[in-house]
Amino acid sequence: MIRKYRQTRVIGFLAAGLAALASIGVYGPVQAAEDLSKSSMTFSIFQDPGRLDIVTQPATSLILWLPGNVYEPLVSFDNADKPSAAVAKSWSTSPDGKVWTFKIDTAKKFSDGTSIKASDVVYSLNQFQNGPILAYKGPFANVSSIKATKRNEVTVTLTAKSRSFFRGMGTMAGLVMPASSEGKRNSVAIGSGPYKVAEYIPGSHIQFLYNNEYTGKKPRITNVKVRFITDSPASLLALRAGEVDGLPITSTAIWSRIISEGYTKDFKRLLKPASGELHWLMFNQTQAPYNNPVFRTAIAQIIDRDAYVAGLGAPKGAMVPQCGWGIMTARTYKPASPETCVIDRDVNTALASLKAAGLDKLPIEFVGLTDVPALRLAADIMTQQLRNAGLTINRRDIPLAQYSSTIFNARPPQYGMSLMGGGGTLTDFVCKDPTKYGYQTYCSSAYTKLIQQADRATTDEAYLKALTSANELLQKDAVVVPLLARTGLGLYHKKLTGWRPPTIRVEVAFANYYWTK
Amino acid sequence: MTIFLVRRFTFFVLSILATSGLIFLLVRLLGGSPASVLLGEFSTPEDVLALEKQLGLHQPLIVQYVEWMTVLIRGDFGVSFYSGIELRMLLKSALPVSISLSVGALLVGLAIGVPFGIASALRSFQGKGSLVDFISQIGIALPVFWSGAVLSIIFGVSLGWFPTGGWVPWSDAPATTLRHLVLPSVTLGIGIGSVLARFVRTAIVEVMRQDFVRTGRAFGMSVQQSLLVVGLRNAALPVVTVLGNIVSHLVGGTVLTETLFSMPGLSRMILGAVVGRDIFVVQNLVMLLIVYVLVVNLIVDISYYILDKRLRI
Repeated sequence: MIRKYRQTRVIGFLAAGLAALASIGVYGPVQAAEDLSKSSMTFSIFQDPGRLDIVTQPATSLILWLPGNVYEPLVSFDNADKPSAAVAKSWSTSPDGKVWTFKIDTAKKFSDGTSIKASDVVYSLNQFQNGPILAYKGPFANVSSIKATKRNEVTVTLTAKSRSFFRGMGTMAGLVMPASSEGKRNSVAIGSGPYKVAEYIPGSHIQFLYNNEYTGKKPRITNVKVRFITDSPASLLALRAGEVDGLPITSTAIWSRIISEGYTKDFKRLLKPASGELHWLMFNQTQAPYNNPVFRTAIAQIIDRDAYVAGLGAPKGAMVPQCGWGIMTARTYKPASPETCVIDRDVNTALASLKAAGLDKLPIEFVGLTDVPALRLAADIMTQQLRNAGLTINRRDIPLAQYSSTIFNARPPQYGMSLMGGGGTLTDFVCKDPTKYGYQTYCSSAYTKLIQQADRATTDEAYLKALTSANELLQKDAVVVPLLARTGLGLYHKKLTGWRPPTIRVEVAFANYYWTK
Repeated sequence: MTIFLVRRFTFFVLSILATSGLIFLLVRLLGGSPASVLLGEFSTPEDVLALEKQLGLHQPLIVQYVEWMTVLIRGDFGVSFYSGIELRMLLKSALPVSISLSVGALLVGLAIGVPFGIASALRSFQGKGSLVDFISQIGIALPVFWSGAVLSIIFGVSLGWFPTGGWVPWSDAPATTLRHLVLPSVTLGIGIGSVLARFVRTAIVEVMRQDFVRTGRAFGMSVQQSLLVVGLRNAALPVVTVLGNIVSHLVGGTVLTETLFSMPGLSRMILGAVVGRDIFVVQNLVMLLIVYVLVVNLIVDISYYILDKRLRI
């Protein structure tokens, strides 16, 4: 009797606990129902950018969201490189191509309600020109002055005609922000794009709302939340639970789960969602043995790219092994195939050449990333391949924030060898001043000269010829070792549509999205 | 009572001074200049010198220490080297998350540990084994990342009762915040409750064997009566100590939970700073945690003083 009574009490405790849980739980369905309204959507990304300053923070997790949503460039370019008005409503150039005049659309306002002035444009361009990110400085290589010649007019003077300057005004380097944002941009982002940042909680989310000052067409979705879910499997659960509507970029670390757990059937799968990118090995070319083409060529010959791609568990078509040298650019890159592969995988030959050069016993100092699961897994596979070949790898992983602030930001490279992901361009390797080298350390004067020739070319033929020669030089010196081309994999709610290829860099433009019935 | 409080508070202040000095010296003596740690091993001497000057590291150690303590007391925790955001701002959003999670987990732990511990003790007192012991063993052994994932799948994905992650500030929608807290609190609370159940059980069994309980039983009190009248109060003493330890260690335990449930709390912030070698942020956050632990210990000691009349003789 007593025993039964006690059992009843235990069951009572359990029931009371469950009832307490349920009483909170049945309060209403999880946020999913609200998020499925026509005017809001929630995305998630596995990385928190840490700060919002696009001038100093080159993290993909930031440049996915701010350009194209919060900021507008000086000039817009479509995917066929055709320019159209953005912050500048018109522009003209002098006959010798050395002076550019931009008429600013003063009807445009920043999200804080202030009108865009020529002085804001000058301030913005100066920020990128003198900022720490080498890639953003590129378009300003030939710029000698940027001046506000009228309240609504900016004049840029070049030392030589430059194709990359005008095109660059449609990229990160041309984004316009108010001069009053100086010193506040780590936590505040003010632009003239269709959205404004209503809230940024580090480690949690960025909340975007429609910018009432925006002069363009009002987007259908006016309320966007980007959540930072660092645990990638948890982001899949959130998608399944309806708490997020899309994962515009998924980590390769969870691709095998995406396939095996049926996410590609239950959700809209989108290849090339945002940042089609290469994986490649970068070498510190100021240090031995990484500055030796023999060493770099041998490394390239050892790596099994097919096994590398297979190890990442990519869905069909999402990743393609790369065995051609050079950098993928729009006009000069030729996709590699087994038939056209110029890097023959030959471990024995590679080891023999390393031995002959006395480089086979040297430990390779490899720096990876702790908080980019995709590249961490890729680094696991790649370093293991090199170890299997008998090489010694000392691997050290550091967080992206540290990597970015010390490597991208024009500081001396901190690695011997490093695995990179991203859409590198040929101009990234230009090195006018060898004492100010950044993470791309290929300071070849011949290469820099070729890129300058391309930039100043008056005909398309001359432009392409110079770029092709530059790419050949990268190949000859084995500057980078391409591993794969990734098209990216995004997952979306089946009724959420509208993704379009990025035009500024890798941005996910919210204004294009809409819900379907 | 006053003498006890003065003595205890003096010890509290001395402990803060000693630990702060130790942290301050460790940061400066281990691994060379903090500026070179921040800039990385290949930074130029010029860069390091410039940063040292910017951070005031060129001043004598005692001056640096006094300045550090002064700004800390003023509540100025400095700026993160990597994010450039004021630590005070980051703490303002992270602290409520971690405190809520800790309190939630503690409540769940108490809700599990106390009744289950008592039930287990009663059965043990009767010389019988208990299912509760077995369950608490499992509870202790369950890894947080596993139990969290399972709870998310069942209550978040399948039943849709609770969010699988994220955080909504209390000021925005308290009911939604509460719902966001349930799964992480239960995840973390299962372990706490399991540990607590075993301590409660042991403490009660120990007390119930004491002479004064036996005397009470001899005067006709039932097991339940003797437990309620004298057992629980006396068993509370060791349990309060354990509870103090659990609360002190809770911040460390929340790292996985906060990551698993995407909660922007203090633990994730500390982890990020440690991984990012943002050493001044680490230094200030560790100091904050030490103050937290010392405060918890102070509260435990005062509670002990109130609960145990023998200490007042």
